[in-house]
Order: sequence, then structure tokens, then C-alpha cells
Amino acid sequence: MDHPTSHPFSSADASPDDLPPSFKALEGVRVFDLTIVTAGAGCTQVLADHGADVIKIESPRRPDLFRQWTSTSAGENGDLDSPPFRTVNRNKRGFAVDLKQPDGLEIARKLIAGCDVVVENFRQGVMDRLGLGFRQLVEMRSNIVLVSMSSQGTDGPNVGYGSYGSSLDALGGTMSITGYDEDNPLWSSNKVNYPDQAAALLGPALIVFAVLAARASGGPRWIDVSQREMVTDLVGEEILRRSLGGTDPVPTANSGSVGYEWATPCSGENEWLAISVLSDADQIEVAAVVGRPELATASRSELRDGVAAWSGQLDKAQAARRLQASHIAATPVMKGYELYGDPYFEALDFFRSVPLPRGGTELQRGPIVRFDDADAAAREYRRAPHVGENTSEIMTNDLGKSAEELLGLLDSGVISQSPD
Amino acid sequence: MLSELLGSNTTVVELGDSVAGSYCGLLFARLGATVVKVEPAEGSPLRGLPPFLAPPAQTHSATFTALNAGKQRFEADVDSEAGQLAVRELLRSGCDIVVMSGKRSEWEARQLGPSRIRELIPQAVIGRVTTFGDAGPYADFIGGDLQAQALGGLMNMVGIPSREPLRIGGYQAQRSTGLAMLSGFAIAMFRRTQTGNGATFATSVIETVAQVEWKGGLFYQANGSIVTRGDGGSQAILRANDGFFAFFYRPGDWPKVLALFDDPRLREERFATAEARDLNRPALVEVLNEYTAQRAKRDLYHRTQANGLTTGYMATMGDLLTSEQYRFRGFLEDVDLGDLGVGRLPKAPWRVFDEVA
Repeated sequence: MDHPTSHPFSSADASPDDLPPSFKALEGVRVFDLTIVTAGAGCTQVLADHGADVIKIESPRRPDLFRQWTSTSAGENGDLDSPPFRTVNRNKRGFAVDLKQPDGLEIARKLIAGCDVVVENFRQGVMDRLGLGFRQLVEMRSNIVLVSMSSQGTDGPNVGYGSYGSSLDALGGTMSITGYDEDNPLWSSNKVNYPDQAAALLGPALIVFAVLAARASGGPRWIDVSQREMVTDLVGEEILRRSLGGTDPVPTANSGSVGYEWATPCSGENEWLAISVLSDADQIEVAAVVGRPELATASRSELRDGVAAWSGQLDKAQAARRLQASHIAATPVMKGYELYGDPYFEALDFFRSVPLPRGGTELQRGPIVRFDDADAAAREYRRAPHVGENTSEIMTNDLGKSAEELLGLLDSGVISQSPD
Repeated sequence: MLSELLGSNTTVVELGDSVAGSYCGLLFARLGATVVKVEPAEGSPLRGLPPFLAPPAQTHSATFTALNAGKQRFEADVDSEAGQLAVRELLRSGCDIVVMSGKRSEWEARQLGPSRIRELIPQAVIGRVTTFGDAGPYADFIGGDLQAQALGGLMNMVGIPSREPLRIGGYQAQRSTGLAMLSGFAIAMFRRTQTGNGATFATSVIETVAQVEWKGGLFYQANGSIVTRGDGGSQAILRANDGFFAFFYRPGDWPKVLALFDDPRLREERFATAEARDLNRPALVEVLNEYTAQRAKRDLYHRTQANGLTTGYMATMGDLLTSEQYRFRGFLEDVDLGDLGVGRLPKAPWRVFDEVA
């Protein structure tokens, strides 16, 4: 797919730097990627998008379980049947090795010696048991970076506890301020898993800054990220307020603590508009827009009903434009698939075309931010690897193994190579 | 500090006002950088953002206070020529990173656009954020976190199907954009070591929201299926006698659930398979609730975790302030806020070790 370098409204912030078209921001960064599912794999996706050589390590017999979580094509794409897996693992290379076998661990040690970073999101203790704890990694490479992304960090009374994204909404505090009311709190649910998504946005920063620090100092870095703490940090203002004599906040649906905010239904099935009436002046405007002047001083429930009677007749985008024209904060509640054809996202090439395993392409979310010149943002994306798709190439080219050694290790099941 | 990866000789200047930019600056401060927030004499509009502190400090924004701990303040009105000149001098005196909030056209009109700054300091890395974009259909929209969560596709996925969709509480669209910007800056700083030159990037809050809720559309694209908000059979928010218990099990862990809850009704055929439990979810939740409503949320959490279930409990802010886990890790710290008293704030949610213990 063609990615033009300028668009009607996305022209560069600054005059482009004079970089060769093949320039990759993270060229030369090599990552030993042990992450599974989304939080960790989403981090390393960002690195891979920007040109880091991310080697996805999987067990030949027990690969990343995310490969099979959400199949959509009845196995047609084999171990690449899950669309979310395909997104967070694009641009990576696949290497399958059994780390529990001594020969497998030895191969991993050699590979790590040539890597800047090891990223993992196992439970505490797993890396040590594998022989890949921080101490051992430093022996393999003196300025190694280890990034451990765990539920609650690498120590403390809850260190052994597992989580999945949404339980961290509960444990971290976002759930206590999300929901319809005090008796009906909600999490982002396992369909969103907000804490995992936030971790995947923060992680790339910590990894890259740690690589810079390790390269500059010649010494190692171990980054211990607690996803629960990250969630609490995302509501830091509520922690502060409570610590200074405030009460515990409770869910208030879509309203903040000022004015009245809610979602009003629009024409069609499950179509909504998110609207904020933050002052008396706003309410007067809304009353005028919906053609019901008496709503200017109405109660919230009357206002809500009056606006619903108006918005229920309208397309959500049209309703939003009419309210915005009167300076009322209102936007349509968009569905994920509606963004593909949305003019804003289209004009920015937000979605990128990525090859599918059996031909054709699919659209995936684009880079984490938009650089204004020849950078990873404008490059072709490679599809996610099959289990061990690049094993032979890495054994031969990166580790200098002979054909005999390669075949022997393949035969013994220490490593595996996907067909083709 | 245990969270540092940058030296204090790394200088960050914050221009403009957004929660996203402020949070990004706060993260830089925790990484060890010197962060300078440019603010007019009358104060940033962010000082008016709720929630406010409890009386007698009810005129102070908790949001602003939490987001700006540990930063230096540089007073300048960027809408006056004198202020613009002062900011250009500030930047020229040494600046690695500019966290810029607002439209490009607004900053260009102030002679502080990204191009102009790069002329002044070629090594500067500039990252800029708007809520709804510089141009295009939403550029003139107004709105806060609610509108951004709606427009970027996140809100549609939160809530229960029979009721209105919900936003996630706080400023999560803005906050997650601050995280994304930090990663953009890290990539740009690495790039600077390669090119010897700065870089510029931009983003919008609605783009980050679409990064956060990136999965729903994929299923529609793959086979036309529409994912709707709401919980599946393997997770439920259950009542405890002192709050809520966040229940989750992997389908393979159902035998553990049977052993823990020990209620014969759970062994009935209507709950025998994952599909059946999904289908009979309300009845399942009712049975589970009978058990959990008699017990304390932390007891349920510790008991189920001890048995390998990845559960949680709904922590209130008060619970977090007294969390043993947080106390052990020293995650929350006292911050002296002068007349406002001594409050507690999160530290960096990461720690850095630079040697083998």
C-alpha cells in the first residue's frame, strides 16, 4: 500500500529531516521477546514498528496462547488465526526454542548475548527458574536491559498473584470511579482490558530509555513495572484528594464532578451521542438546539428525556455537528469498525495495510505517534511470524550454526522451524 | 531516585495545556529529567480541572496538583510578544524535549511552531498533541475526556448492553495519550543518537483512544462479527459484604471454582460447560453472589488467588492508601504541599535497578 508522505491536512510539523528512505529509528536495537498475550507483546510491537529487531521467543510445543484465543477463520490461517495476535506481533521475527532443555537454554544465552533487551511478563520466579534471572543475564551481557512487566511488581506480599487486564481495573482504582452508580461499578472488561493497553503504551518508553541508559553507562538495567501501580497512577488526582481529607469517589456514570454529562440515544440500534452540559449557559444552548426552550431550567431527568426525544430522530454524527455548532461538547460514540472509514483516521493513514498469511491484507492500527518524516511510520509492515518461522535463519545467520548442528537441534525438538 | 533513567541535564519544556502533555511531563520528572512548565501569571486553565481538593482547599484542582509535582515553573504568557520572546530564550538556553499541547497553527502564530523551534534548536525533540486533530472533520470540536473516549471507539465497549455506554473514570483518554507521547519521545531520543538531530511528531487524543480500543474492529473486519460491550460468562463483578469482588476464571479453572465455592447448584448441568455458563450467566452470578456477599472482599481475593485464580477486589482510594502491597514497595509518598498540608501521591509505577543485588 502506498503511504504518501503528505496529506491534505497532515502535512509535517517541521521541514523533513534529511534521512534516507530506509531509515529506521530503532535500527540496531535487538530484543529477546518473551512476552505473551497483549500487554507485553503490544510494547514490543511498537519497537518492531520502528525498526527494532524483535525476536519473538516461543516454546515449540507451548507457543503464545494468544495465538488461539480468538480465532476468526476456523483455523484457515493456522497459528495466525487470531486477528489481535497478528497485530501485536507484526514486524517481529519468530524463534521457537525449548528453554527447559539445556541445549535450548544454551542457544538462548548465545542469542541474548547479542541482544540489548530481554522483555518478559511471566509470574515472579519464572525467569530465575529458567536460568534467565537478572544476575544470569548480566553474565551473558554486561549492559543488558531486563524489563519485567508484572501484575504487582517483583516483590511485596502480593508478588505471587496473577492477574488479567480487567482485574487490575479493580485492584488499581479505576473501577471504583467507573460504572453507573455506587452500587454498579464496572471494569473496562476483558474485551478492552484497559490496564493492558495502558501498559503497552508506557512500556516502549521505559524499554528505549533503559537501552539508552545502558549503552551510555556500559552497565545493566532492570526495569520492574507494576501494572497495578500504573493503574493507580492514572487516577493520581483521586489518591491526592482522598489523602487530604476527601471522601472516596464513587462511579457517577458519564458525569464528572461538574455539570451533567451522559450518552443520549440516536437513531438506529445501539447508536449514542456523548454530551456534556457543564453550565447553565450550556443548558440554555442545548434547550435551543433541541427546540425546547423550557428545558433551559429543567431538571436533569427532564433534560435527559427532552434531548433523547430529539437525538433519537437523528443520526449520531448529525446530532453531534448540530450541538457542536452551538459550542456544546458532543461527539458520536463510534464503534471500532466505523473508524476504518472515518475521514479523520483515513486522512492520517491511521490504519495500516498488513499482509495476511494466505494472501490479501488487513487493516491494523498504525504507529503509536506520527513522526513527520521518513521513519518507521511510513514503512511497509510485515505480518506476524508463525511459531519459529525464522528459527533456521537466526540459527544460521545470527548464531553461526552449521547445517549439521541446525538439523540435530531440530531433530531433537530443542528448536523448531515452521513449514515454508 | 529508584525510577531514573535520565539525568537532570535532560531538559523538558512543557508548552500549552493538556492533561496528556502534563502527564507526559510528570513521567519525565520521575525519569530524572528537569521539567519546566510554562504558565501564564494568571495560571494554567488546568488549575480549573476537577476534582478539587476537600475543604478548606476546595479551590485547588487535585488534577493540576497531582500532575505537576516536581516540576519547575516558568512564568510567561505565550499569547504576548514578550512572553513568546521569553520562551524562545528559555528554549535557546538549553532544551532537549518540548511537550507541546495545542494546534500547530496556534503555535505557529506565536512564532513557537515546531519548525521555528527546530530552527532555534536543531537537536530538540518536539512532540505535540491536540484532542481532535489539527484539521479534518473534528478539528473545531470542543469536548473533554468523555467526548474523546466516545469518538475514538473506547466508550462503545464499556458498560452493559442494555444501558448507555460508559466512559472509564478520570481522564483516561488524556492520560493514555501522555503515555503514548512518552514512548514517542523515547523513540525520538534514540533516533537523535543516530542522526545527531532532533525530531518532531504529533498525535491526537482520539488516535490514542483508537490505539487503546484496537480489537473490536478487527473482528468485524475478519468475519463481520460485531463485538458488544458487557461481560462474558467467565468474569463477573460480585458483591462482598464490604464492597465488590472482581471474579475471573479461565475456562480450564472451573474445577477450582467448584472446589472453592462448594455449592451443589454450581454442579448442575446448566453450568457444566463454558457455553452453558455463558448462556445462564445471570443465574450463575446469582449463585456466586450468595456466597460472596457473606464475605469480605480481601478474604475472597486472597483465598481465590491462593488457589491460582486471577481475581481482584474493587479497591477504593482509601484502600489503596493503606495497601500493604503499596506500603511494602513504597509506591505512595508524602508530598508537602505547603498551606494545603501533606498529601500522598503515587511515585513512578516502575523501579530501576542498575546492578545485581
